[in-house]
Amino acid sequence: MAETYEGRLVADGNGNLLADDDGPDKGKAVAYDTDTDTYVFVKAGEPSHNERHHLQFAGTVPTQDADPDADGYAGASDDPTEGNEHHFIAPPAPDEPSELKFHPDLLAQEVSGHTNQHRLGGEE
Amino acid sequence: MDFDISPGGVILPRTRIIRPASPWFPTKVGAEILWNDVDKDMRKLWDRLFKAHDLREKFNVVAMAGSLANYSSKKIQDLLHGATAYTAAATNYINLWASALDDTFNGATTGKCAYTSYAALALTNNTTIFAAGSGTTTYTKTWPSDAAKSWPTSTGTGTNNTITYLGYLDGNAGSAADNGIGWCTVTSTTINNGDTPQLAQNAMSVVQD
Repeated sequence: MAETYEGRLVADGNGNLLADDDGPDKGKAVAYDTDTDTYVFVKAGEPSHNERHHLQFAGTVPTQDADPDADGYAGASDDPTEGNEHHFIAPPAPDEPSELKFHPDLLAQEVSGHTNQHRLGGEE
Repeated sequence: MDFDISPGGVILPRTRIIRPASPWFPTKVGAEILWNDVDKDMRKLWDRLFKAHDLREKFNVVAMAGSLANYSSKKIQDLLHGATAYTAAATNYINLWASALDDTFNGATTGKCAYTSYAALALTNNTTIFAAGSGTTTYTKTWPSDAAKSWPTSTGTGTNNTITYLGYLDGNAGSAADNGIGWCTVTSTTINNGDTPQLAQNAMSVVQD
């Protein structure tokens, strides 16, 4: 039976996962195991996380409003392209308070980037 | 208000020279006078400035859709003015959010992406990935310089899987100890099971005037 990992995760840049908790396992490759709903260490010769699960890429494209022909064009403030309306939401002015919310640290560490994140559903 | 009396006995408000008390701000009349003398980009900027409905939106004309965070802005100021040492993070951790960010964000800001198997994208902070930029009056760095970079492949919907913002941090503790470096908006994209979110080579531009 494969050895499991629980803790913080980090991406290696190639669609794979690495253990990121301080300790002897930090930096070791792990992969999500669908059958057991756990994260297992990847042994030499075994398929990586990406090789096990990848179907297609999803582009992460920064928005811009300067070039209609370039990727991420958000349109104009009075006529934004669909799905890019948030490009024109201004952050608070220097004299205005931020509207961001923050999790307590212990919760924040597990709701994202952690092997438990998908068990903590409902996080807004 | 002070008054003067005209030779005919009419009371007139005393005229004063108007002294500027705030930064220069274009007026529509001024813009119309100069319209033929400015290039297309400046016309577009003025147009947006005048059409903006409120002060917050006017600021957005200047701020665009991204910024360095308060934390990194302070570090730069202290380094340039006072030579307060700043050691940049060895790794930048690139994260995705499903809700808005601003300059106050950090690793505990709510709305961080959490599709199943999501994790921050670790980019070693060196000149291979963050190569020297170009330009003098406007200096632009683009990254990742060496190749496209991918977040982990999704294995389930999880939560916050429709991404709209990207923010990068100096740590991956997943808490407020991770300081915000910079952020920007990204096109709204839903990450489904089997999707691998990817940042194209040189997709990010950081511009310094």
